[in-house]
Amino acid sequence: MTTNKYKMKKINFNKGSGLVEILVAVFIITIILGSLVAVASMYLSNAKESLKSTQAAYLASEGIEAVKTIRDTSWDEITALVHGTDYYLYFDTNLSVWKATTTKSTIGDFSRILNISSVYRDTNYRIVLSGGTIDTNTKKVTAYVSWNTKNSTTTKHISTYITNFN
Amino acid sequence: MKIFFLKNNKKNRAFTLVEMLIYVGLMAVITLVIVQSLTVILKSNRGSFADINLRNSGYSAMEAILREVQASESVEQYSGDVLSMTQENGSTVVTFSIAPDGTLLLSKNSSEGPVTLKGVRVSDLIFNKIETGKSIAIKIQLELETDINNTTKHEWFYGTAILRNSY
Repeated sequence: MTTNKYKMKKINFNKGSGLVEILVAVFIITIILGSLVAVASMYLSNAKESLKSTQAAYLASEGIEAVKTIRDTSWDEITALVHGTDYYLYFDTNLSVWKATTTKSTIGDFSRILNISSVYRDTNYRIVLSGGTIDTNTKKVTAYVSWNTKNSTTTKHISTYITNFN
Repeated sequence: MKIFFLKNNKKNRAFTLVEMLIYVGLMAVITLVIVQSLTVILKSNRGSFADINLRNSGYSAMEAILREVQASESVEQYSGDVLSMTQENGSTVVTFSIAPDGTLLLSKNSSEGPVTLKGVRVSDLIFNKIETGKSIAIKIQLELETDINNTTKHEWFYGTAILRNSY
């Protein structure tokens, strides 16, 4: 009798211990797998982001080059652009030329905006950020390319100076 | 004594059954979690590989095209997936074309080589010639594709460059 009682107690004790062990094991496995999945998803989003920023870089440089083709066509088209206004580029397939427009447009997941601003030069004809006199034959062009990521918007921009060399 | 033993034995058996059920249940849950996680990891790994392949091919192809366009003086052909330009006063002809397997080829000075990676194909390539009166520019639309998880992934790359020697 006593032996049986003892046995029963022992079995009960063993069972409880096994459950706790399993719970701990499950907990550890969950943490390990959870972190692996987190790392994998980070890897995935990094690869995606790398692809997106490469595409964006070419779109931005296309924006600058397109403005240069507009400049080559006519400087008047550049001076007609209002400073501080957001311009979008569209390709006129009939004339096969780039045009700047205020009509919003997107390129796939990307949005490209162009801004034109005045350039000031000092008495030595050097470009200055403040002061100096306005140079009507030079403009600063900035191309902004933005795209949506998981929970925010990324914007990259490049800028250059264009001159009227007529 | 015998009756008690039997009773006791029965009790033990019942415990074992419940234990087994718990074990099997937990085992199933753990296995499910492991398999699901591994599938997610494997899929994301393949997805990233495809993204990186497309990015590298796009980068390599766009860099090659833009660089050659900027070094050229005139455009010979810019339609039918082929871009042909001249450099150095007509002494060098640079041609971009698509091989039957979808690789983008660059041929220059009688040497030819691929500018996209293995496993990546050009699915669309459109060139537009822009004439400004003072200069010539080329607008490039390049679509690359790669196979992944029994589907095909596409990515576009856009670019425009002025032929610097066309002024």
